[in-house]
Amino acid sequence: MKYNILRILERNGCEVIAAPPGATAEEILGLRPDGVLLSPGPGDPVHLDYGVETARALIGVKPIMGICLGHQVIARALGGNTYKLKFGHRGANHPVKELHTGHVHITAQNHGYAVDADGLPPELEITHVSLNDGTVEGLRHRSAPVITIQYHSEASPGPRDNEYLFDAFLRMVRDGRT
Amino acid sequence: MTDKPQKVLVIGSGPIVIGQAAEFDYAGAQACKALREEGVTTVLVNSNPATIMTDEGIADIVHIEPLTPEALERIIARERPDGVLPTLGGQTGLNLAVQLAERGILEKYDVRLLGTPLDAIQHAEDRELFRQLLLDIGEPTPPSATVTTIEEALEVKGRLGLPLVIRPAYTLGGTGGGVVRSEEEFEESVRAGIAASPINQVLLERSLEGWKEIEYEVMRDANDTCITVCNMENLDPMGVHTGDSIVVAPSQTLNDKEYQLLRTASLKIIRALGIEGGCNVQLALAPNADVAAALPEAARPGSNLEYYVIEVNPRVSRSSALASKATGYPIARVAAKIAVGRRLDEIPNAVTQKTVAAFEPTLDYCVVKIPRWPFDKFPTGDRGINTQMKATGEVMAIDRSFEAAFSKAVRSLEISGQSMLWEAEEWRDLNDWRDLPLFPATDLRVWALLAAIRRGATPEELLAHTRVDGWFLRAMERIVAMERRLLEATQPTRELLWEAKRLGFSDRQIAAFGIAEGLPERVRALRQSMGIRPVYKMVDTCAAEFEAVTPYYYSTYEEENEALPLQGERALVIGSGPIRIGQGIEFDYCSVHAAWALQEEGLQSIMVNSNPETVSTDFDTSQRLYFEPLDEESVRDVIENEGGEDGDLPPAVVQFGGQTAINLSQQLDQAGLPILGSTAEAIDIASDRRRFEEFMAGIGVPQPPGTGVTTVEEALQVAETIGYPVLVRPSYVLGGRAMQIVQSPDELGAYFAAGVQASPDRPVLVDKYLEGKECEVDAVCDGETVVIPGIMEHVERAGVHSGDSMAIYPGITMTTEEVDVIVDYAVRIARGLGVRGLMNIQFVVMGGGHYRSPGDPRGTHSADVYVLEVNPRASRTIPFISKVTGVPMVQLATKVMLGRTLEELGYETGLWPRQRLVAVKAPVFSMSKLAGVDTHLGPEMKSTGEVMGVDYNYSAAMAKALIASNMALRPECGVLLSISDKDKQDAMSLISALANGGHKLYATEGTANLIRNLGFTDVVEVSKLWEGSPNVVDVVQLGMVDAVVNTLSGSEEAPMRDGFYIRRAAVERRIPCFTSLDTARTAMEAVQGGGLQYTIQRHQDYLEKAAG
Repeated sequence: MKYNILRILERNGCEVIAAPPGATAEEILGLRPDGVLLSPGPGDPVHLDYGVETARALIGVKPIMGICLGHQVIARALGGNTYKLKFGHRGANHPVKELHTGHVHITAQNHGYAVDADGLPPELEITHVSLNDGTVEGLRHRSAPVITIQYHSEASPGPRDNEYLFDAFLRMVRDGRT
Repeated sequence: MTDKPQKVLVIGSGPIVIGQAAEFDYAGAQACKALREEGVTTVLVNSNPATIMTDEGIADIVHIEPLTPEALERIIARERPDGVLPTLGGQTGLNLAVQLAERGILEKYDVRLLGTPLDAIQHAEDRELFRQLLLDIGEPTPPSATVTTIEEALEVKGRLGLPLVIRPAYTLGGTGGGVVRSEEEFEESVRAGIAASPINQVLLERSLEGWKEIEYEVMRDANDTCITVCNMENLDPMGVHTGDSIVVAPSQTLNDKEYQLLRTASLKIIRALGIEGGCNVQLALAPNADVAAALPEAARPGSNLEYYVIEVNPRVSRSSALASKATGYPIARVAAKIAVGRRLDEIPNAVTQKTVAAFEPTLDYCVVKIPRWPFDKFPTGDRGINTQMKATGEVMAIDRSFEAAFSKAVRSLEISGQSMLWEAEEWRDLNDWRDLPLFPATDLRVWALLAAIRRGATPEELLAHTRVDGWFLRAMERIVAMERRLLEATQPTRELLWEAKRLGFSDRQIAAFGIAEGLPERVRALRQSMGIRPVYKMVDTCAAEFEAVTPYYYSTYEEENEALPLQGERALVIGSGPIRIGQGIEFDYCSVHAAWALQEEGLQSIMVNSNPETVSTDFDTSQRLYFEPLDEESVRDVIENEGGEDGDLPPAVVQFGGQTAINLSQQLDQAGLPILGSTAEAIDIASDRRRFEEFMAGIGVPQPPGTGVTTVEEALQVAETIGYPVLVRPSYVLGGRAMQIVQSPDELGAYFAAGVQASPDRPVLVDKYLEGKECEVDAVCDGETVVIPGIMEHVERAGVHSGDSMAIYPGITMTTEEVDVIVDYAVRIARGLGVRGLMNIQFVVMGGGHYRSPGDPRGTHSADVYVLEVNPRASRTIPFISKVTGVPMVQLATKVMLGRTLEELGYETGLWPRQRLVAVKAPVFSMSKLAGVDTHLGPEMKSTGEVMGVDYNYSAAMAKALIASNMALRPECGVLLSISDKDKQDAMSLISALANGGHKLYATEGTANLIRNLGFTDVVEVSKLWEGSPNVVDVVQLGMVDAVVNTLSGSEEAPMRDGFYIRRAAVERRIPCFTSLDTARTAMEAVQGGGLQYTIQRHQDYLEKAAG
């Protein structure tokens, strides 16, 4: 988890509560959040059954944004697979294409695992792909308020091109409140 | 989405001038290739013949014509392109495109402006519109206010404090502007500024002197995808033009927050402007607290994240060329593709061929650029570097650390005798380092900073004094610390040498501390015996993340070598280094063609060069490119690296990189390294005066009497024997450096006293000065067959440097007899020397009429021909003569070097058939940028570039050359004449012709008397400079005349003063100033000969019709 995620949310007027990775869906809902952000973290998502379970229970209940590990956990929660990349993505210069606009954003990346485009559940749509190797970089739920990205939209370090994703998340949060 | 255009006009940047150099040949050539890949037909126009872009095979259709709206309209009418690409030809190309749009010419012929829209160009170029745009998007611009009175100015001063920048509205070249630092000078400066402005208005702006200057190179496509190619940091903070700054890439002193802050701002600006292509954004960032504390209060930033947007260039630029070479990202190529509708993610990354252009390069090295200033040629010029760019060229060096890249960049400058250790004589006696020329900056700042550190200045003291960031100063401190260790070392250890090499110390620098008996060759042997050799690393755009197909290399001292020797037949082309007066873009042109010819013959070409502006250092010009200094050490290291374990050394091609490369021939030969073409021995004979004299006597070809001398006594004696005037110069010169015509023993004494160094192996040459008709030939020879493509006749008599002379092809006043003699001499010399490759010979023809006008040939009787000079290498006329005769000189020379004969290539000995076209090469000067430099023509070369006028007859070709070089005489304009006594006789025909041609004449006293005696009584006599008005300078400054004819009296001392101010005034007003009567007469004849009715024709067609 990077502090800059918290700073960006706070700057946008959110009250932010950080929960530990082991928190259950029940505990989280008990905090009465308007939205849930699943944070980045280290390691192979295959070993995170507790997180996958929590995410599954929250999808469709609260607006969710997943970043990096959070993105992988959400994909797994809906039945998708993850795998280890031959070459991990590291650095602040990775081009990612946003498919519905055709825009390319330069992103900060730091991950060794990726969501497999094959066997993705029908309710998930690929929204972003890496221009370097074509791997999945972002997903959206076709009916529930869920967006995920594989890279670090929070920057610090790295380019700030991707704060628009927080805007999208916060729009979902606001829509959920009204 | 609009349709892709089918036919596109690309506008070049014209002649090389300060501020607009080879980078636009590189950009234009790259763009033309990119457009061809897209299936677009390209029409290129440029007036500069010394460019690769105007060659066959780059654009589909080439026009070598003056870059004026009139000529361009005629080209558009003839070619009917459906698009024009305005952003590749520098400011010249951009301004022309805007003029074409504003005059309705684009609309008239239904031509679209491609890429960046007109509105974006206007918003970026117009100061007020740009300011408003920044305000609208919330980006900060320096606080400022427009004032028209002193009262308003005082109010602004109260608000913004001092220092303030004064910018008068609508003045050329910043006249009347500057920085005001003190209360005392404030009112007077504002008043002067208001007076200088034609609308009596000045802008007062907060001074950001001392702030960090940062640039971003940004790309945007029509789909609004934006990326930054790289950022660059100026070591010289705000206050020094970025073209005159030492620049590092990527930025070294910014943290991520600062980097991203400015990156985000740059992207926001390119989006707001709506640029489609490339753009350069310059920003000022608050300096670190230690520097800030030393600034005047009004210039001190409020926080360390404070920044201002300074300006944008909505086009490719010098900076974008540097960024391309620093990162491997081909900005011009990508910009051209965007302009025809491609998106960044559709354009492949040419270096990796797997990834796409929508990414940001990563650098695992540090790049340092240092400008190359012309003050070795202009010692009297104002050496201060500030807001007016003065550098003619630049060098780039790459290494793993700033220290090493910086050291290599200093070596790459090729300023003779000026290594990093250099200090000026007068610095030795300074008691205080603060008296060094540190601030305000001069071109000597690098050496002054190091000298200050050697004298004990700490980085903290220096940063307060110079505002250079402490990070850079601490790096320099590490360099000086190594100097001390080397000085103290009696027996250098491997560790010490290794560390010195890692900091970028050359063998020569190390030897200077007495290591290995002080001999660079011994240092080399010593370090090699310790296993200390450079390895080579890749520039691959991605820091090895992806495999690179066309990387290029830089040396460093580390373990792993990424440049394993190329296999198979290969040869090394030695480039020509930074662009400087006397060694310009022509030699890059030759180097590129040499690389291509090697490839045609099935060899792999390896390029070595240090100049980031050029086509030769484009990643796909050769099979392999090394970005290295062009000194003995680096070139030998590269050759040895390519030789590999089994020592299969690639031969070196030394004839194309100007004096830089040819000078290396002797050192390479001594080191036992192979050279292609003419032997080192042949080169030495041609360059060594005494050997050359013997050789010429042996083959019976006359030279002006004279000889090489080593002392002033010897010189006086020689001059006495051959008679004055004599021409004196050091041997082994480039562009006539320190060459002078001397009229008397006193002047000869003064010449030696001025510090000319002569030694037995570098004598000073004293020759009889023959003021005859000068002409030159280039020739290619295989040892037997000698092909001379054409004879070039100079407009100016001998005595004006050939690089500053207008040259006419063919030699239209030459008699058959003279031509035969010239060809005979050339053949004898080429065969006698055993030339294999190129050769250039300069001749002077005496007799045959004192002056022979090209419009009125009078030379009918036989004349004597003398050889002035032989250069056993490519000369600066090679691109010109190749273009106007169609004989591909460099290709032929390269093939000959590889063993082909000219006969099998289809050529025979003698002069190539004369073409029906006539072409004129005219020099172009950058004098308006160089305050304090006298502009008169002489044996010292002063021009920075050249243009070509080509047509079917002489008058039209000459008119084009004059228009393109801004030397054309406006019909019936006022002309100021100030003719020295010795030239008065010669000037009479010119005066009559001018007066009869309807020109109003203004003249100084003596000249006015002459004019009245010729019967033209309405001449206006003007007073001397300090004697009332209108004086000689007033008539120029007030626009009463649009041309000046001013010849020098023999002695260059006191009488120069008025002349100097007249000439400078003409330069500032950008009107023709003729200091040779020959040039003036030619310009007058071109106007009166109906030359303004010129043809517009494809270059291909001029040649074909000519051949038929």
